[in-house]
Amino acid sequence: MEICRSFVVDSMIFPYKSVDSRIHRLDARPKLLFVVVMFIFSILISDILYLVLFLAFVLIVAYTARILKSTLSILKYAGYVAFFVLLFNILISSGSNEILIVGPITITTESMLFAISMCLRLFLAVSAFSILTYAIHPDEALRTISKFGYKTTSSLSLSLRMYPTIAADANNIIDSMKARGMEFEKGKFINKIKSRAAVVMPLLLNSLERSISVAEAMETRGFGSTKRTNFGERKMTRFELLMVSSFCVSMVMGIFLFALGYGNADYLNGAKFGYSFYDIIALALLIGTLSPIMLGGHQ
Amino acid sequence: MIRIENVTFSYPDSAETALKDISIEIREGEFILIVGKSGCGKSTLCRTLNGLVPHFYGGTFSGRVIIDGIDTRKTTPSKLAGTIGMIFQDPENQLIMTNVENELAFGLENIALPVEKIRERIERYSYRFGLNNLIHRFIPELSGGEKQKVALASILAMQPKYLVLDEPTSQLDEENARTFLEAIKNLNVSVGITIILVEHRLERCLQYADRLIFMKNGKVEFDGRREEAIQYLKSENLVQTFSRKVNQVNPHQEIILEANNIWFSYGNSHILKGLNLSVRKGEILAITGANGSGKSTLLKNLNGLLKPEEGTITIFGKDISGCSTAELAAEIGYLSQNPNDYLFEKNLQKELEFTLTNLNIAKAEWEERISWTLSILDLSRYRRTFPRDLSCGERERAALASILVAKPRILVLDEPTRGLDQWNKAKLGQTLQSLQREGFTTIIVTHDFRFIAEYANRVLRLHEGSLYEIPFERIYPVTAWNEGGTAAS
Repeated sequence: MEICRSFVVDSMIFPYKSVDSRIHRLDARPKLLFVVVMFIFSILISDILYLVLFLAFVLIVAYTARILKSTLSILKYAGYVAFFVLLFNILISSGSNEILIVGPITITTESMLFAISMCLRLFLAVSAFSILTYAIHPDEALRTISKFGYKTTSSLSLSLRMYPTIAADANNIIDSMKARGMEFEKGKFINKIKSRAAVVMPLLLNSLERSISVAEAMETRGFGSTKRTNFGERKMTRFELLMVSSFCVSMVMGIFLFALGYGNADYLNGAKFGYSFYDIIALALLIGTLSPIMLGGHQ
Repeated sequence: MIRIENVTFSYPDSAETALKDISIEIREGEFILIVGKSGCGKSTLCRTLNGLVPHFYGGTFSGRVIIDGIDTRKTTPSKLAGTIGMIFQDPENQLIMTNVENELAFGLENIALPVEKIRERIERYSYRFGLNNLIHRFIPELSGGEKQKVALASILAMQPKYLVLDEPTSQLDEENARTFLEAIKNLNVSVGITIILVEHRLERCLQYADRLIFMKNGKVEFDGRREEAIQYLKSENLVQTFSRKVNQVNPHQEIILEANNIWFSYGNSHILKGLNLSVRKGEILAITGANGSGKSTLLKNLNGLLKPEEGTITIFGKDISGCSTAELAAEIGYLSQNPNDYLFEKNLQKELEFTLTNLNIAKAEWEERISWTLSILDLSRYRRTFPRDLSCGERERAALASILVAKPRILVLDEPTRGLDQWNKAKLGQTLQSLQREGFTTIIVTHDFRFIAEYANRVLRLHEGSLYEIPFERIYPVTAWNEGGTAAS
């Protein structure tokens, strides 16, 4: 059982692995802020050049953190989604610059550019997410977020901690259901889906019972009795403080530039793939203010 | 000092009174063992000590509990955390953080200890409990015994005066349970922490306690020193007497399950290495072995949940390699370690019908099968009960019912006695024997030597990927009860 469980945990459930890289050595706060900035950019920005450069930058950070392989493997999954985004957009979007007409399907430059931009946004968000999962210790991440309301974040920490438990629970329930004659392996696709659904109910009930025990345990350990101290807290180094302020500048600047129209390309309404001198300056400023992350942390 | 004065309590929406007029005084430094059948109110009594009853549960509460002059009704459980520490049954559910160091810090952060003090305590307690090597480990990767040790250390780091433990060893195997209980006793003797221990392993625990409280139906039936307790337990017939009462199996019965040269591995670690096994019709076969030796893996290979890399398994002469577990469910019933994984329907009858539907059993047979199953497992009165409302022992039998209703001629049970008290164990053992008389064959994986010695026909030990027969003489003496109230081991 134990062997089986640790095998499961190792292989798939808990993604964070402690790696000794300069990104891993860095305090969680600048890293988190970096991820947040990237998320915001992935939502705001639609210009392809901007997106490509930011994506490349995040991948370089991932490479420095020695998590490029894991990042690419999640990107592979995002790739499946992207494929459908592309297909969907190309098939239904409007536009007048036709590139190719195959029967009833018309492919236009507008829809192509728009679809590529959508996919790049997805990739950027996903690779930022990968930095969050693979390069920030979950406990530290939660400690940092807990500054903004620790009850919510303790429950987050708990869900992280309980994730392998619940995943193992789900596997065991599937085994039990199989032993009761429920077919998961053979038969029609729709039946397989139905059998998956039958797992939800016992899993929910198990988790409910578990959550009562957990709440009791937290209560008996004094959770919420007084304003708590924070054991893991350490002071940020000068470098890390510099990074935090630099990323803040980048975020504010990014939002400001976006409001002015930089990085904002409405491809569906005829925006072209082209760049001015000011775009290059804007990009240099944004990436420049983000680049201190490459300095990393020290032992 | 703890004073419980005339406490009466019932849970919300419950007609029954969980605690009835209980008055107990607990002096500092005592080691108290609280015993009683499941449902007698012992866990509820524990929870009055730190105010979880009534603050967490609600319900109607009268009387009072005074801890060092503090009335639990006027404070919250979290405020009592520094005074009363509590350990629960399942370590899995009381570890909150992701790594051991943070876990140890969690309680200390909650009581607002300065960071330097926290660091110092973590160092001291991880050293004392031998957790130094585990300090940065991810908690879900620890073994059950390690988890319980971390739970204990993280409570004790808060330096409580009183330690309440609610069946702390029920999820542990014998070996880990003994180490755990010895650690508790050691704390009591060397540090002087007052221990209030709820347990069902009476023989195992009585030797450590100074005082025993026996509860029945929400009342304290007996409260006295250990010496008197032994007399009392004997006079009330509560001491489990050991008797081996197995049914004989004809050694020439046909072989119904056969495994030949089974190899299985997870990743690079080989678990089963050319294992052979043959099971005769009607026997109760016990398989034992150290933690992680692959017992559960073996069971899962037998019913198709896992497929061996090499070797063949035949059931009733049929090779099962092409069969899914669901297809085998009518031949071989599998009960995993956690009965809760089987129970989710509105009532027990629906639960059994779920299995029958899956197996496409003709409706005409349903009633006969359901009543037969419920009666042989002594669950008929719970036919309309929500299975999750049943007690621990009853849940185990309800889960068994959900596979037995398929009338599989072979049953494989993974640690079925885990967490059960002696009364429920006896009931389970007797059920297996009734099934045996009806021609069912049972394979159980268990650490419970006493259970093996009382009910099994044959014992095999899984070691280094192969099975070895062990003679009963090597299991038998483990469970003898002697006059001093100690269990020989």
